[in-house]
Amino acid sequence: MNNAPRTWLRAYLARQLFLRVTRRMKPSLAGLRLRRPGDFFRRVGADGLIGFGESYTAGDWEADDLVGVLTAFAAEVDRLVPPGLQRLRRLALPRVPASDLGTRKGARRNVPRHYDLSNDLFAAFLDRSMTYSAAQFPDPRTATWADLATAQHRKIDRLLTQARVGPGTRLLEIGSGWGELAIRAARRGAEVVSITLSKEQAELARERAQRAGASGKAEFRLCDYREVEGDYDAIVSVEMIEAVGAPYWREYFAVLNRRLAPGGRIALQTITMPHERMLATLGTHTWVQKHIFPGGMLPSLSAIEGLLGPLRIVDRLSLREHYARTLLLWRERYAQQREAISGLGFDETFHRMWTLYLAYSEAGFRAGYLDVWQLTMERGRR
Amino acid sequence: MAIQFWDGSRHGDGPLVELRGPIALRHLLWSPGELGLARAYVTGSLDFHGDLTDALRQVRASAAFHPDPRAVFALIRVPGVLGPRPAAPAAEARLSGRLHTRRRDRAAIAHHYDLSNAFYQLILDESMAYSCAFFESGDSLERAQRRKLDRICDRLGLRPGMRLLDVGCGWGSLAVHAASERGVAVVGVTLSRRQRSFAGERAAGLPVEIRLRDYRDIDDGPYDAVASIEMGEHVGQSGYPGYAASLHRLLRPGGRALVQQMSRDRRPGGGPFIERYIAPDMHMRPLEQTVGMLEAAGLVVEHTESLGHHYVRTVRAWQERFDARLDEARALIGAERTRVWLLYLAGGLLTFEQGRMDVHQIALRRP
Repeated sequence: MNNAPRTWLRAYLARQLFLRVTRRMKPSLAGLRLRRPGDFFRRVGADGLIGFGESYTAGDWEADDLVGVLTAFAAEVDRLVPPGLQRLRRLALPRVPASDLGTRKGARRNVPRHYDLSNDLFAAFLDRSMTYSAAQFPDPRTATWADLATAQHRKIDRLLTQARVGPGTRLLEIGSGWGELAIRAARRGAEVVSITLSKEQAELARERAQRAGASGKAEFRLCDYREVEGDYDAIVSVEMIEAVGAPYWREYFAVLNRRLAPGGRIALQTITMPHERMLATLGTHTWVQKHIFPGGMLPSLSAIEGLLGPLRIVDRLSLREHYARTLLLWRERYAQQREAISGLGFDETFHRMWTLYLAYSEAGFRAGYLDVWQLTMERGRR
Repeated sequence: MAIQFWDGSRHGDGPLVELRGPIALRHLLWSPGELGLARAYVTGSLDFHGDLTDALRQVRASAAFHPDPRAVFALIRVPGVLGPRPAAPAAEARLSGRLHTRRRDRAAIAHHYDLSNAFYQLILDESMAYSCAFFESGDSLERAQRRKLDRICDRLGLRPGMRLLDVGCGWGSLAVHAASERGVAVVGVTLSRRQRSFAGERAAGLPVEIRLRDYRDIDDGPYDAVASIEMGEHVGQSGYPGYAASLHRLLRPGGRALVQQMSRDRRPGGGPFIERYIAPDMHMRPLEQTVGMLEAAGLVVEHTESLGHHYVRTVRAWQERFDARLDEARALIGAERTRVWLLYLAGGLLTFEQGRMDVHQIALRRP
């Protein structure tokens, strides 16, 4: 009961802040309805943006156009909190729990928390290529579900071409997913070693490779990126660095450099944040980290440039609009498959959480708060 | 490195540098390093035997580039070495006035690009593209320049009926290509009179308009697409934010721009030789800084691609054409400027080969 006044005060402040923000953003917030304002402000007051997300999952608020509302918030994100309070955010916001840090042990625990949820869940809302990263469409503004699998292959093929993967290439893939990239690389005649920390992924990837007749050329290992050995002509890693954690970024790039044979090339696909935002959020705990990607942290491009060591970026391509479209297609698919997913044992709270996660990410890309890049690297000539 | 003096004496082994008179050393004493070497070479008091590119590669690597003070002391006692500052070669640019005023920029551009259209025709391929090509194995220079122009058109998403602005249109290679191959209407601007007349003539009959105009004075935007190929180097450090703002202003919302531009990672600027002989007031900087300045103007950078290794091949192709027609070149631009160009191409090839410079295509969108 000691906490009661403080809880009340925080809810009060949250209400004031919310009103201040919504006054400014009124037109873009049309359709946001508070169903249980009391609970909403208590949660937001107690846990900030984590509370904002949790209150959606709990059903405290609804929005006709969830992405629209979140895009408006994301576009305002820097101004949401008054500048004076921004400086206090490190003190005021919860820190990342130590158990979520990306040590080898932590990573072995974190990665399965997302990727071992259930292969059937991912199969339900991903296209048949089982690719869980930004696709590359001919035109992201008009693409439909029917275009998604081809667009995923286009993305994979560009990465393989950038990394100069061809017959006989020794390719290392860090982060297997469900094996589609490794399978396509094997079809080009490459010899692929693909690593993941998710048992579920590795098993399904092996099965899929076998079905594709690629199992002799693509080997899937349950292995931490820090434990790989050998030299590779090409390294590919698609949206994996997000799970590495900021304290380990330097080591991640050191591993890339160590494993790359002379003259080799690296192709990464990575989600980024603007540098200032990254610095502001470093070390604080967010709703996405708590509920979706434990231990995850998005780098900025400048952060990556500062960590490259002898590597240098020779090509960088943004797929920002493509990711917004990919996420939209996944969210629509999820909504269609909702009953089937319930049949797998996922409840209403999970549906709302997953929907918010996909909508929140899409909004981030639409607002420019998130970006996603294909980066091609070589060892510098200097 | 071996050095042969004007009295016939020779010191050291390896590729040969010939000093034809004490004036060569006087140039080096007055402006040590790249500039003195260039002045001595351009005026003919210093020469390299054998392949110039190889010789320069050796010079950079050799100790002679950073001479021992005792050697310098010994040399200044040689009669004729000490003396008043030698006159700078006529081929050096002499500009006056504040940096990047319209008047001074016009003078800087005229210095290099108004040299002689016939001379540029000797060196460049028939497209008259004077920028880094894009080679695939086995490509001729012609083929690689076409490939480069096609890449630019693709990245701009050009479709028939669009209006393209080319800022720094050179001799019209992109304007003509885009108009004839992609069916777009093109406005090209340049500050060089000779480029303007050449480009205007070859574009006759196409929906292409070539204007003699400063990019700051283009007032009929917005365009559906904007290209600027190796022109941003000329606007300078202080001019770049205004240049980026112009690209933004001249592009319609949702439109795409493509900037192809050279970069230098260390020692931003142009380098003493380039600044005196080729492109006065030129400024190159690391790619990330350029990207930051374009973003600060409100443009979104969607793609950057390094083409440095393609520049090595491009320059080599220009060298081959030049070497085959040296006599014609001398007749057109004189012996001293011919030596400027020999040095420029050889030095340029090396900076790209050694990664001291790079060139990028930067694809942008106005949100």
